[in-house]
Order: sequence, then C-alpha cells, then structure tokens
Amino acid sequence: MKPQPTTRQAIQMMTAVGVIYLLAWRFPIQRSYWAIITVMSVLCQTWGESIQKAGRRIAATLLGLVAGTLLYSLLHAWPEAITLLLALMVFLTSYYMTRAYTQAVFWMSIMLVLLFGLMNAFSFQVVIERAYETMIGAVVAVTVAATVFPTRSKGRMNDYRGRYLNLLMTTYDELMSHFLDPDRPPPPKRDAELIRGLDDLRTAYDAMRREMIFYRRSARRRQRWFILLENIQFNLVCLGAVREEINAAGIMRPVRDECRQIQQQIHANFVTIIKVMNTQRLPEKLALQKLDDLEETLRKRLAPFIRAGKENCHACVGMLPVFYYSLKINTALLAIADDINERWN
Amino acid sequence: MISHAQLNRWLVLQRENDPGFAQFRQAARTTIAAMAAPLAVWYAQHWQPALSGIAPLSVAFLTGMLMIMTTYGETRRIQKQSFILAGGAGLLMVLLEKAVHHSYLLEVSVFMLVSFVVFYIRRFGMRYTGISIYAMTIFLMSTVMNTHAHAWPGLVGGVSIGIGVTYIVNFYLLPDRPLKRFLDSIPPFLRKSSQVLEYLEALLQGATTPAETKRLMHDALQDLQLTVLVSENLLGNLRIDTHAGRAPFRKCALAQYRVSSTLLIIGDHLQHAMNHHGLPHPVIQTQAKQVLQDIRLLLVHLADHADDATDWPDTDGRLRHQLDDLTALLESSETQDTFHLFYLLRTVFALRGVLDALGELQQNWNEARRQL
Repeated sequence: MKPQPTTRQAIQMMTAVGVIYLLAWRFPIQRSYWAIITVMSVLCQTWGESIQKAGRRIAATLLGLVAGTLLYSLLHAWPEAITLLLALMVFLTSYYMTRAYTQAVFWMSIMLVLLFGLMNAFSFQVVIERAYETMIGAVVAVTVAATVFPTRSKGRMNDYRGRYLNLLMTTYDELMSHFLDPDRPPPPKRDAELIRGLDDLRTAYDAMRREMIFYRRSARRRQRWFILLENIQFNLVCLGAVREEINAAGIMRPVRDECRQIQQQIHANFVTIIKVMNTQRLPEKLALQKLDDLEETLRKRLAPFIRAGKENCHACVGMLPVFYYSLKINTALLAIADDINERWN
Repeated sequence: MISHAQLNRWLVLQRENDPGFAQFRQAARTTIAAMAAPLAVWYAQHWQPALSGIAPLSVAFLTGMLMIMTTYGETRRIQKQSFILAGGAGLLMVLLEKAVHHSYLLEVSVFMLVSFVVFYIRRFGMRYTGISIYAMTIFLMSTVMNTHAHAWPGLVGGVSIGIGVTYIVNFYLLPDRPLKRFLDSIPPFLRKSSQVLEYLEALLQGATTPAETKRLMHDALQDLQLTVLVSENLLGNLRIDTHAGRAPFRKCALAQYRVSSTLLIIGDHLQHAMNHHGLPHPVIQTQAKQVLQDIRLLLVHLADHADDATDWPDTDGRLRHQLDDLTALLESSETQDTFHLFYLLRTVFALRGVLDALGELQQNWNEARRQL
C-alpha cells in the first residue's frame, strides 16, 4: 500500500531525526539541532526538490557565515551597531523567506553569527560547526528522501499530468457541448483551475530537472509534454473567453454536424492518451484522429457565407474560434501521440 | 553613490514584485516582534528572576520570528485561532520536553515522535504547516536550553511573553490588510498587460519577427496568468464576512481574467495572421498600431492612478470609434485572403473585449476602493 504524501514525509522526517541523533551519539557533533533544522527546511515532497533545496541551503549558509564573520570582526567593539544590524538581518530574512529561499538563508546565516556575537558566544569553532552540521543535515535529508518511501518528481509529474489531461478534456467537452446546445446551463469557469494545475505541473517539472542527471532523456520528453499541455491550456482559456461571443453568433446550421464531429474526435483523442497514461501500456502504434479533412470541408462551406454579406460574415467570425482552437488543441494532442510513439520505437 | 534614477527604478521594481509592499510590511512585523519580545523578557527579569539568563531571551526571539507564519486563515477570527493554537502548541512542547528531559533516550524517542506528528498534521490544512514548524523548533530549543532542572519556568515565561508581544504586533500594531493588498495587486497586472501590447505593436510595425514575438509573448502571458492567479489567491484571505461585500473584489478578479485571456487571443491571432500572410495593408497597419498604442496608454493611465477612484477616461469613445473604423476597413478590404481577414477581424473583436473588461475592472475597482 502506498502511503499518503504527508504520511510519507512524516516518516522521512522521523527517520532523518533518528539518523542525526545516531550520528551525534557516534561522532562528535556538538549542535545536532542545526542539522535537524536543516532537515526540516530541506526535506521536500520529492527527491528532486530536496536536492535543489539542499544545494541552495549549503551554498547560502557558507557564504552567509563568511560574510557574517567578516561583519562581526569589523563591528565587535560596537554592540549597538551589531544589534541594529541584527534587526536588519531579521528583516531581510523574513522579507526573502517566501520569495527567494537562497537569499533568506544567506541573511539568516549572517543573523546567526551576529546573534552569537551579541551573546558573547562567538568563536570560529561555532562558525565551522554551523557549516558542517548544515552539510550533514542536507546530506541526511537528500539520502532519506531518496531511500525512505522515495518520491521522484518524475512520478509526481506523471500524476499531475494525468490529472491535468483529464481537466483539459472536461473543460473542452463542457465548452463544446455548451456551444452546440446553447440552452444547456453554462459550464463553470475553469480559468483559475487550469492556471493552477499548470503551475503545479511547472513546479514538478522544475524539481524534476534536478533529478535530470539520472534520466536525462526522459526529462527532455517530459519538457516537450509540458509545453504541449501548456499549449492546450492557452487555447482552452481563449475558447472560454469568447464563449459568450460564440453563443451570440450561434453555431451555424450548415456546419453544426462538422462541429459535433470535431468534438467527438478530439474527445476520443483525449481518451486514448489518458488511457495510455493510466495503464502505462503502450500500443504498438498510437494513432489519433486527424482533422485535416474536416478543416477543408469547413473552409469550403464557410467561404460563400463570408462573401454573402456583413451579417453572415460576422456570424462566421464569431464561430471561427470553435474550429481554430479545436484544431490547435488536436495538433497538440497529435504531437503528444508522436512523442509516445517515439518512446515506443 | 546610488543615483536618484537608480533608486527610483529599484522602488518601481519592488512595487511591481511586492504589490502594496505586503511582504515588506510582513517583514517589518516580524522584525518588530522578534526584537520587542526579548526586550520585554529582559524588562520582566526585574520582577521575575526565573526569566534571567539567555534561554528565555532566545525562545522569545524565536517566538517573535516564527509566530508570524502561523497566522494563516481566511478571516481575522480564524487567524487568531491559528495563532493561539500555535502558541498553545509551543507551550505544550516546553512542558513535554521538561517531562522527558531526565532520560536522553526518552527525549530522542519523543522528539522523533513529535517530528512525525508535526509533519503528519499538515494533511489537515495549510494552517498547520506554520504551527508544526514553530512547535518543533520550540521543542528542539528546549532540549538545548533546558540544561538544568529549574530552567523550564524561564522557557515557559519566554514563550508566553513572546506570544503576547507577537499577538499585539500582529493584530493591533501592524495588522494585515488583505483587502488593500488585493487592490494593490491590480496596477502591476495592468502594467504587465501594457507590456504585452507593446510587444504586439512592435510586431505590427515589423520591428520584431513573429517567432521573436512568440517567445516574448509566451513569457509575458505566463507572467500575467500567474499574476491573476496570485490575485485570486489573495481573495481567499479577504477579511469580509458578508458575501455581498466580496462582490466587487470578486468581479475585479474576473475582469482581470478576461483581460488576460483576451490579450492571449489578440497575440495568438495577430501572430497567426502575420506568420501566414505577412504584414497587413499599410492603412490597416497604421490604424491597428494606433489602437494598440491607445489601449496600452489607457492601461498605463489606469495603473498610474491606482491610488484614487477615477472616472473611466474619455478616450473610451474615441477608441471604440477607431475600432469601428478598423472593422469597416477590414470588411471592405478585397485584397486580403478570406481567412486572413478572419484573424484580423477577430483581433479587432478581442480588442473590443479588452476595452469592455477594462471598463468592468475600473467600475468594480472604484466600488472596492469605497469599501476599504
């Protein structure tokens, strides 16, 4: 049975704490709590994120300790100046904590040196301890993340991707059903959901890049997927934005059947890809339906209307997004299928 | 030395990245709490000798620094509840540590258990993340500082004073104003939107290639979408208890979505038209460029007048007239390919959509300002 992400992370944290206490018992580690605090900060949901954060933590701590030591050496005779500087460091740490983790850790390390100085507890030994205990904490966090119920960003990206494809399909189906049958209640606006989902995917993708050294080819493929899914999302947001306009124009009778066919084919294409994603079994060759013939038919059918007069022309222009965005969405789906085929070959 | 222009540029950048200086205020709140809490402990030492020594000062400082992140919640009431819950957890950790301090093995085992629990409870919501970090840090600090049997009253006192001071700073001295924060996020959004139109102007002039514009637009639109998302997330923190009170704010967020998605459409269609058919007829090109420029200036104007409720500018009528002219020009144009005409006409429709959405945004923005 696969544990929940929070349970998994809790077990990882507990294990890491145990490992650090074991190391502190076996080796001369004076301030093991620094290593534990590093673990608390570095341990993320996936291994890739933990590697990323551990690297940043170590680099920023080392730089901050050097800067803090220099500052303290210059100002140690003026405790008032150190107090003011300490307040400034608290401010900068807090200011950057949510927006730039590396910078926040840098300022925090300076703050710590000044704090020790103010308490008359500063020594080079303390600075060195801080540095290597941070490294111990970071190494333990990454090791535990990679060995105890490891979650790779690759796996998380797969989960998010499957869920996101489902969301894209639902949104497309809802919009198209609404255009074809305007009497139905309007579908919910899913812009925020679509953007948030993509943002989650982006985070997973960024974290996965840290794991890339272990499976470079696979990561490149996922990057292509990410761009294609982003493309579908952009087109769906556009389609949603003009839904009132499309409804006002209405789907013109002569092309209504083609519209329905487009919807059915794109839905089928979505389903095929999601099925492959869920089963993780690749067919010999994944063939999705193309819409080239339909596009040609539509062009031919619409051309006389545009020439017929202003009113018809406006109705055609109002309908254009339905075909335009549907074709673009299908092109992205075909590219995803090509990618799957390439993997198979 | 830093020049006036450099300072000004830096301030503009900060304002764009930190709408309404919300993070700046948060950092100021933390600094005041972290510095005032140990000061209060130091002052209280005169009456209560248990508070003397470095341990109470340190835990008070830590409480001031960390308690700010525990104020998660939609309303002020929930924020206070989270805060009190975190404070209670902190005190409980000191007492728990005191109970197990006599045996190293027991202390380590309990701490391992605590670390499991505090990470596990995150599954119940975001508010527990800050609480868990604070509680775990206080337990850890107590293990380090509770070096002799009688140190714990000082630790309890340090944590209690830290909680009290941070509570006053956080809820009375420098309270968070999410409503204002939400409204302050609108001008950066408008400036980013004007940037998108600037790229399109350059494309229409032939100053940049469609491929180059595509790259620039992709990043700009992604940024714009994330700005809207942040703005929407802020709505979750609004301190308004009635649904009616939220309406103009909610409508502002929806109007922002409309602006961003319509800009997406304009960019896409214009690029498509230019990619497949090249630059449009010079007359159409000039007229379209003028419209883009005017809308861009309108966006900048609205962003610059963010601090006061303004009327919808007179340029609206002129702009709509220009759009009508452009539509007529396109419809009468016979040299264009039929589908090229489609894309250009749709671009004009979308520009009209931007104007509508901006009007809606301005109206609700004014209404929201009145409710502040």
